[in-house]
Amino acid sequence: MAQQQSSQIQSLVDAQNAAMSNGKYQPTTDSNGNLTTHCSEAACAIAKGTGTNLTGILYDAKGNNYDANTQINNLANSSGYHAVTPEQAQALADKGVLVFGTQHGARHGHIASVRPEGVDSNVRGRSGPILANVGIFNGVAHQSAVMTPAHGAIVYYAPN
Amino acid sequence: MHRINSTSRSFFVLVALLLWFMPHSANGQTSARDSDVWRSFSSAQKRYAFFGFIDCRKPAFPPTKTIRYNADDRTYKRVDELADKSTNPMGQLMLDAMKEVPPARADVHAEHGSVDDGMLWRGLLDQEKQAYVQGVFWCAQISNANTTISQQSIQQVVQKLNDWYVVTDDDWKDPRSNARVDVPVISALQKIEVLRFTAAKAK
Repeated sequence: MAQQQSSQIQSLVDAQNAAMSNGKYQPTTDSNGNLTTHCSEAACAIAKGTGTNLTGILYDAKGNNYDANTQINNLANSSGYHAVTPEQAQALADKGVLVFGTQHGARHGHIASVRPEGVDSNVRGRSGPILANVGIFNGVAHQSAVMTPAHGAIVYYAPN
Repeated sequence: MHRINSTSRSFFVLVALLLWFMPHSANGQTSARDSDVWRSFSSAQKRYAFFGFIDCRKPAFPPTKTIRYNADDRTYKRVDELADKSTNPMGQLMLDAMKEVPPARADVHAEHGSVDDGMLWRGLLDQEKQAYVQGVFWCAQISNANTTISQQSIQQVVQKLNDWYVVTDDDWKDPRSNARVDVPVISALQKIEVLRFTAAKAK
């Protein structure tokens, strides 16, 4: 049992590491200062990397990701996922469960998977669950360095 | 023969230190140190140097063409190459690299339209923040009278921005945190009187 959990944690961490370091998912800016970020693509890659089938929730049947707001709506309306508290989200991630932190946005939303505790020594921010963030920066960060409540409700989703 | 006493020696050391920590002048050519700084940057630092450079350049030189150049890994590599053979100011090399690298195709699967604001500032590591400010300085270096920057060290500017965005307020309880989080970093730099823009003349 403990060995299985350890393997699940490692699988989650490996998938998150691969997404955060993927050159295709690095944020870019154009000459007008418009940013392009890749949180929704990374969420798909992490799900696939951990062997979690989220077809119809994070991506379509062809494997193309939905945008973050659509992914968040799908998680909220999925019979396979439910909202959990930030503390529950962290506790589940610590067991290797793939849990998503989300924030629906007016223009675009944000989604990031929760990172198991104790893996990283250099974590940005100080409060809230730890996230494997892919967005305006790619790296491990507490919620406080990734999302502000001022931008809308921050909701965590875990599998049933 | 006049001998330098210890007070004078201290004075010279102080002046040398001040010169070392002062930002680069806003004119003239790139010093060897600029290209050394660029080369010493990690890939992430190069990215945020470009973010700062572009954010600074945009208000002084509003885009007049529909072409949008991209700053990505190809652009950073091109700056590496240009820095090896050119003595132009670093900002000019960054601009040249952006124009030389073909724009990337629009990525339909990505999220578009964010700006570099207080959320970015909270998320960046200290060395990434320094790179962002360095990019702003490199922009000012080639912007002549359009962009003026106060004579402060990069670390001083980083600290001022940290204070202004109240990055220590991790629980978002300070009303200034949420009031300022959506303010672009480049606007914050003007509010803390580090940066000043004057409109470029239309051509």
